[in-house]
Parts: sequence; structure tokens; C-alpha cells
Amino acid sequence: MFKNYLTVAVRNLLKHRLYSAINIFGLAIGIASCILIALFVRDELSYDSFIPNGERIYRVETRFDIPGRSPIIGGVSPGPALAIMLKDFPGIEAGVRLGRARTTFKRGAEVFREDLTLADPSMFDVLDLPLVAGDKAKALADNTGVVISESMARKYFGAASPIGQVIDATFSFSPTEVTARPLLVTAVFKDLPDNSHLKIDFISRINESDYEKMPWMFKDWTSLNTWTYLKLRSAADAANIEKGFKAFTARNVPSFPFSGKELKISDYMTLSLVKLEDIHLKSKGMGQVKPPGDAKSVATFAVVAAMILLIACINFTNLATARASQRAREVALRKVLGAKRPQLIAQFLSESVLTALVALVIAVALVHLALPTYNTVLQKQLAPDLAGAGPLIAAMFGLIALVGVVAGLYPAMVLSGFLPSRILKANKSAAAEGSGRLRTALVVIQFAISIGLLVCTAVVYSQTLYAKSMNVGYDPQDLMVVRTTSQKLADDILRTLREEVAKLPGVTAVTIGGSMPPDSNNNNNNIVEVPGRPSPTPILLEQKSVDYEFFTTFKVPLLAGRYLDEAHGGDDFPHGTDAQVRNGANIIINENALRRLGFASPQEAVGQQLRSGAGRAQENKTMMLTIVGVVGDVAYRSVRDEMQGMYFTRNSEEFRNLVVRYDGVAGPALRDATAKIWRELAPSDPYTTQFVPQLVQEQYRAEDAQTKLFAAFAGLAIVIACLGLYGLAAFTAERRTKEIGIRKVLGAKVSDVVRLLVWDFSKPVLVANLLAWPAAYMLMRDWLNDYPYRIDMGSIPFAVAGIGAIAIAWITVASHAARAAQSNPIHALRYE
Amino acid sequence: MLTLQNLSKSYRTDTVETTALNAVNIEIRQGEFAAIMGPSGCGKSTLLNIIGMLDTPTSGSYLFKGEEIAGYSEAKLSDIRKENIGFIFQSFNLIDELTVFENVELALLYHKIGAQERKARVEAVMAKVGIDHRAEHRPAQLSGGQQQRVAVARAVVSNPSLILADEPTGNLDSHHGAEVMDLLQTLNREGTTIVMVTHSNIDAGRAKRVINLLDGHVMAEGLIKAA
Ligand SMILES: Nc1ncnc2c1ncn2[C@@H]1O[C@H](COP(=O)(O)OP(=O)(O)O)[C@@H](O)[C@H]1O
Ligand SMILES: [Mg+2]
Repeated sequence: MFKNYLTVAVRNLLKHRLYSAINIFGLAIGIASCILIALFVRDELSYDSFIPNGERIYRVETRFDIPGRSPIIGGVSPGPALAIMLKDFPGIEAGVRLGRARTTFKRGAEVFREDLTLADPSMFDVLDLPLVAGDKAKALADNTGVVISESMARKYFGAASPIGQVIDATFSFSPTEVTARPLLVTAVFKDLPDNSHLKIDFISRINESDYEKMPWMFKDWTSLNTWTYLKLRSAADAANIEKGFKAFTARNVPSFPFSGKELKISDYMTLSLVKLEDIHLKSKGMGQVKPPGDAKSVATFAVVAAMILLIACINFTNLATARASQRAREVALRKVLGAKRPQLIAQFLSESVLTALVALVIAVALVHLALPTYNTVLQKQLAPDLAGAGPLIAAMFGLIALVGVVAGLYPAMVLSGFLPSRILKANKSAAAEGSGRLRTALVVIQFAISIGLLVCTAVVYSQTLYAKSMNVGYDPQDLMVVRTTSQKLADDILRTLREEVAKLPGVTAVTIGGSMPPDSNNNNNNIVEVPGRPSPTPILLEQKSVDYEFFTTFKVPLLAGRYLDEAHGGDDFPHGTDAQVRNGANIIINENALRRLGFASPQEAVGQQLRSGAGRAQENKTMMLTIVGVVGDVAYRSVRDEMQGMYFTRNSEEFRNLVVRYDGVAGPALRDATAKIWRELAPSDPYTTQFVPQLVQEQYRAEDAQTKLFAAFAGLAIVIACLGLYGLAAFTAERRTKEIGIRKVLGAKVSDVVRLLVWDFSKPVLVANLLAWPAAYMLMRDWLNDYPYRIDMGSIPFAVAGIGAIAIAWITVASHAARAAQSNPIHALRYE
Repeated sequence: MLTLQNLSKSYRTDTVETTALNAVNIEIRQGEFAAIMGPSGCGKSTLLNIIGMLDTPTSGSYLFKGEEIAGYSEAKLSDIRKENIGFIFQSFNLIDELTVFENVELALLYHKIGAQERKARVEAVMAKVGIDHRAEHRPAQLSGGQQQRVAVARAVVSNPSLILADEPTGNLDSHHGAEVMDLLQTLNREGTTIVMVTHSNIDAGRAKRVINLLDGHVMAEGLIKAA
């Protein structure tokens, strides 16, 4: 019996080639999209699952809610917190802090700039990275040992055994000096997989006394330089511990003395817990070592996958019912010969499952073809690990069964329901009347989905374009950044480097400075107040240290007053708390700060004074800042973040980078010329340059990838929907030949008939627009709400998607319509 | 009204060439009622299709109202046909998806006639053929005789001067066939020229003239007295 079904199924596939091709390719593209998206989703959801006991490991996250500005959030937490937490919360089994040290490592004559992870010795009690050599218990016994990854072991020692080897490293334990310290390799760990939020190459022990000259590293409650991971006794304790954090911060975070008042930092500070496996998708803000994922886009793409598959299934259903009449006779005969309805349903379902199976084979091939490009766009290394993946294969076959049943069930019900008496007597067009309406409804759904995706693509694309082309407040073109690795090196060479680089041909301006845009750090936040104008809430301004030439080099427009200028002695920020208190300093503020401080105009602000803290918080000193100029807002971060109030000082102690503006010379040539000067000044330090336009683009990489994927999947959805429409048009044209013949006999011209058919196929697409527009509008309104600076959606994306879809539908059906319209009516009317 | 001179039609398929009409000479005058008879496959439908400009002759001349139409474009033929000719088929050829009213109206849709006038004319002609009470029915809900009356209504609603009927009673029983023939005869009396293909001697008896075809040749013409 089953063999008979199979024979009929295979013969049917072969006999109706167009029909089979449309079904199989539509399904194949749908299944391939599904697999690709599933690989992405699986990867995003699998982050950090390799770490044992992940279900009870949490990271402490910090949030500052400061009225008048967007909250400061991040995955980092105060250095002193962990030690007290371990005492206060018995539910915590173990905890570890991670920090980062900028180091240079020597390998023979070569030097490399490496990110060294600093960790408490409890590292492996919490984040139990699998070791391939060495002893966990002793690996971080003191600050002279280093644990390295397998690939770093290869990089530094090749095939030699790394244990017991020594790496010559230099650290910057203070802003002004570098310390050479040989590190003994005590253990080797397996490289972390790509799907981890952690990026660790080297681990060394945190030794707080190393940082006596940088006390904010581990001892400050508001300077956040460490990540804190907790392993709880049970995941059930998490909510309670989190609840206890409010009282914890109130007890432990010191108040901040500010102009006679005590500012309770804990009122603005919230600590919270994020589960290890949620960090990648849910943790936001500062202190992400790798670009974080986004739970929303993962969910979105999962939905997109389901929708594409649905479109492909609809093709199958539609085409199968459309040609039901062609198979009515077979059904009738089988029934006459004794087939029962369930047997017929089984027959038709096995046909659809067989079709889906053939589609799966093609889909797997398509996935393999698409994967390299897909990985490039996503910056991932996704691979369908078919070898050891029983569940994956099971899932795929489950999918096939699902697709086969979803797509095939309705046609199977219709076909198996035919009454043989009517069919054998009426000999034609006994196909159910209602199925025509269902087909139209399904086509509407297909196009509604496609149009919705097109609208989303258009909006995401326009927003990204808008974000990228938004005025950043300076001219980012033709700017090159040279970075130093330590404050010591910066102090040693930066000024000479500036003089030499200025002499290079094509260089029009050079400046040095601390934080210059683009810079994602958001940690120079200072509380200020306008004397005599008390503010109910603290005013927090970002402080940026730049040199005199910064404004002209970056072409930051001046709104009032003047730029910082060497000719004015007071423009140089004094070194040392006493000098700061005594002399104060001149500053430039931006427009946003102007508003925060409540000045009516830039002119009014010039000459006004602000009071801010001087030195370290514990010193309880204040200094006066005099506004000498007001400039436009400068975007340091991407426009996903709101512009903040800022002031610029010339604090030469923080100068670490050099920025060159050039003209009439190629960037790479300038980079090489600068490298030559660098190697003379600092032969043993690695040279790093970046170009500002590229750095700005990098900030939009996630959006770029999203746009590309949306466009690709929306395109595929349209392709599949049109495949279905093409097949449907073919059947409709065939079914309507008689009608077309009659119309022509009655005087209809070819153009009349084409118009009639094309209009008939346009109607569902028009209705689809009406469904898709409001849905897409609401979705995109929410999406855009995440951007403080966003486009006005307007009507263009909707018009583009709507007209585009109709045009594509027209092109798809026009050939059939034209062929049908041109045929001689007597052929159609001849044999009835 | 129309003159066919030396008109031939042959069909060429891959291998065989079929001569459906061979040097046919026929003249049909205004107001005539002509019946074409002959065995199956002798070329009756082909002749009717050519007269109706649905098909073009392979050679020969076709004068319609004194105008040579051989070589006219499809669009031009479509215009002449639309203004002058109505068709009735053996298998009715109604559109299943349209109501009776809409089927009849279809013949006026490709003329420049306002909706109101269209409605009036369709209703008038439906009353004339006696199907006005079925205006909102679908063809499938009617008997064969009723369907053919709808087809007649559709053929005459545009006031053609020539009606071509290919075996109009072929799918009907004798009672319903007679009804349709009555209608055709009435139309002829009112001045419409009718050319009808038929196998039935009784139906042919209603015509004023019988043309006998055999293997693409006009065999004999018998003039029959008006009944
Ligand atoms: N489109 C066609 N292609 C090939 N041969 C045709 C075609 N139409 C008609 N014929 C042939 O021409 C001859 C006349 O057909 P037709 O006019 O339909 O005969 P009748 O209507 O008298 O039964 C037949 O032999 C038929 O097979
Ligand atoms: Mg015939």
C-alpha cells in the first residue's frame, strides 16, 4: 500500500515539473532560512554554557540613576564590594573579581600589547575554566604567576611546554611609571569558545598593593573597574540576595561630601544580579568585553524564520488545492475501488512529507553555500555540527514532518473529501468553491509578511543611515588616532611625536589628549554646581581632557567665548589638589551642559563659575571652574546613546593619544610614515593606529549586520511568496482559459484580459498592504524608541514596500496573463 | 452581408496538414437564416469561426459588408466583431463564476456603454428570452435550456446584425431545443442575419437556406421555403 503511495507521489512530482519545482525550491529556501536563523539563535542562546555550575553563577551589575541624564549602566561593579558581600550574604558560596591590566609582553625581540585579566585567587572556584596543564589550586598563588590560554602558549612558546616558562612583561601600576615584572607560567587553560561573553588570554592574580598609586582601581565605590562574579549556594537565593543589595549599598557606599552637604551615593546606585548565561543577551552598557547580543533581535529573527517557513508552507497548500481538480478523478477512482478517507489522507500527507524531504536535502546544500557569507556578516563561526548532533538531525526531521503536515493537511482533507459520484459524472471543475477564497486569504498572509519585512528593512536601513550620517559635532573625515599603551610612555614620547608628525607632508593639524571621540567610555563623570544656584539633584558632567589644538583639529564649532588657549595661563589644569583648590581652572562646556546648568544662552554662560570636587573624594576639597567658552555637542559614543553634558579641561596628566588631521595624503601612507617616527622614539613599544571614520562605522556594526540580514530574509520571503504566486498564476490562467476565450469572443482585447488577470492578482497584495502597514508601524515604532536620535518613519518605507511588492507581483503574473490573453479563443472554447 | 471567395483553411501540426476548408464560395445576404450541415469533421465549425473572425483563412477572400478583411490585425478584427457579430455555442460557454445577469452584461462591457443603459438593455433582453426571473442565479443552477437562453441573450444584447450559432441545440432535448430555435426565428424575423451549424433536420427546416459541407467543400445548396 505504502509503496503504491510512494510510486504515485514520485510520479506526480515528476509529471508536474513546474509545480514540483516551485514547491520544492520554495520549501528549500524556507527551510534553509530556518536552519541559518536557528544556528544563529542557538549560538546566541548557548553563551557561557561551557562553564560548570552556570545555573548558580551571577554577575553583579551596577546602575546609577542620576536625575537629568540617562542612567549610567554597566556590567562592572565597585572593587570593595565583593569582600563585604561574602561576609554579609551567606547564600554566596564563592566570588571572584576580574580586572584588566594593560601590559606589553616580550617574545624575543618582539613586543606585543596584551590584555591581561586580573583575578582573585578564587577564580577557578567560580569560573571554572578547564585547564589542560597546571594546578588550579596553586595557579594564582601570587602575582608573579600567569595562567595562559592554549593559543597564547603556542604564540609565545610554540611547541615547547609552557609550564615553568617566563614571560617578560611590563605593567603600568601608576600613571607615570612602568614596572617590569617577569611572569611565570603556572597553568594553561583551554581557549574560551566564541560563544562566551568572556575574552581571556592571560590571568594573573589581583594584588591590590600593586595599585597603591592608582587606588581607584580596586578601592573606590564609584570608579568601576572590576567585574564581580558570584557563585551562589542555590539559584533560588538570587532574588533574596538581590533584594539585600539596597541595604548593602546604603550600609557600605560612603557618602560624598560636596559643598557642605553629604551626597548619599547609595541613593543613586543600584546593584543587581544577572545570570551567567543571560549576560550575553541581557547585560547592557559599560564594561562589556565583547559586543553584547540583543535578546530582542534574537527573538525577532526566530519569528522571521517561522514566518518564512510559513510562507513556503502556504505555497504548498495553495498549489495543492489549486490543482485539486486535476486529481479529483484519481481520488474518485480510488474511492470506487474501496479506499477509505483516512487512507487517502495518509497518501496525500506522505506526498507532502516526501516533497519536504527533497526540499530538506536542497536546503542543507543551500545552507552550506550561504554559511561563509552569513558568518562574515554576523562575525561568527557558525557551523552545523552534523557529526555529533543527533538532536540537530532529529530537530530537522521533526521540522520536515511538521512542514509536511502543516502544508499538506488541508489539501489532503479537501482531496480526500471529494464525492466520487459527482466527480465521475460532472467530469470537471468540481474543485471546492471555498478553496479559492482560502487561497486568496493565504496569498494575503504571504504578502502581508513579506511587505512587513520589507517595511522593517526600509526603516532599519534608514535609521542606520541616519545614525551614520548624523552630525557628530566634529568632522570625522581624515582623522587618524595613535594610541600609547601606558601613561609613562605617553609622557615620554607624545610631545616629541606631535612635533615630528606635524612636519610630515599632508598633515594639517595634530593634537594630543586624553579622551577624544569616538570613545565608548562613560566614566569621567564629575558632580558640579553653580554657586548661588542650588540644584535639587546633583548635576553630573563628563569631563574630558584635551589639548589646546583639540577643537581646531576636530573642527568643533565655537558658540560663544573662546577655545582653550596656551596664551591664557589659567587654561592649563593645575596638577595636585592644592594647586587646583588655590587656582581653579578654565573650562569649555558643551551645549548640553549649558542646558543642564540652566544658562539661557552660550553668551550668558561665558565667565560664569562652577564648583566641583578637587582631588580624590575622600579629600573633601572643592575647586572653581571658570567657563571661558561654549562649543557644540560632540558625540563620543554612537547615537544609540544620548549626548551628555560635558566640560573640557586641559589636564595634561591624562594625555595618552595623538590625533592627526590630514589632507592630500593617503591614510595608510601617513600611518606608515608615523610608524617610522614611532619606532625611533619607542622601539620596544607596539604601535597602534586607527582611523576615526572607521571607528565611527564600527559603532554601527550590529545595526549594519541587522540591516543586511533583514534585507536578505525579507528578500527571500518575497522570492518564496512570488514563486507561489507564479505557480498560482499558471494554474489560474489555465483554469480561466475558457472565461478568457469567452471574453475575447465578446470583444475583449489582449490588454483588457491582461489588465483583468493582473488586477485580480493585485487585489490580495493590496489587502496585504493594509494588514502589514499597521503591524510594521507599531513594531518599528517600538524599535526606534530605543534610539534617542531617530528618524521620522514617514510614509516612504510603507510606500516603497507596498509599491515594490505590487510591482514584483505584477512582473510575476504578467507573463502568464499575457500568454493566456494572446491565445486564440477557439482553442479554449472548442472542446467542452 | 458577407462573401467568401475561394476561401481555404488548413491546419498544420508537426507532421500532418489537415485541410478543413477547400476553396469555399459562399455569399450570405442581409436578413438571411442559413443552416450549415454536414458530417462531423467536415469543417463546419472552422467555417463559422472564420466567418466570426475568430480564425483567419489560409487563402481566399472574405468580404464583410463589402470590406476585405483578410489581413486585418487581431485588434481591428476584434472591433468589427464586437460591433456586428454575436455567438452562440453548443456548450453554452457561460462563465461559472458570474451570475446570469453578469454573463449577459459581459457582452456590453467591452462597448462604450454607460452602466445604466447597460442595465436597461440586459434586463430587456433577459425578459425577451424569458430568464429575467433568474438574473441572480449562477449558470450551474440552471437547466441546459435555460443556460442556452442566457447565451442567446448574451449574443443579442449588443444588437449584432449577424448571429453565428454552432450547434445551439446539440446539448438540449427536443423540447428545450425548440424553444431556442423559436428565439432564433423571432430574431431573424426582426431582421438579424443568422448562420447556424446543425445536425438536426428539424432545426435546419427553420432556416431559409441550407448549405451542405463535405470534406471542406460546399456540396449542394437547397433553398427551403420559409416556414
Ligand atoms: N486547431 C486545429 N488544429 C488541427 N486541426 C484542426 C483544428 N481545428 C479543426 N481541425 C481539423 O479540421 C477539420 C474540421 O474540423 P471542424 O471544423 O471542427 O469540423 P466540424 O465542426 O464540422 O465537426 C477536422 O478534421 C479537425 O480535426
Ligand atoms: Mg464542430
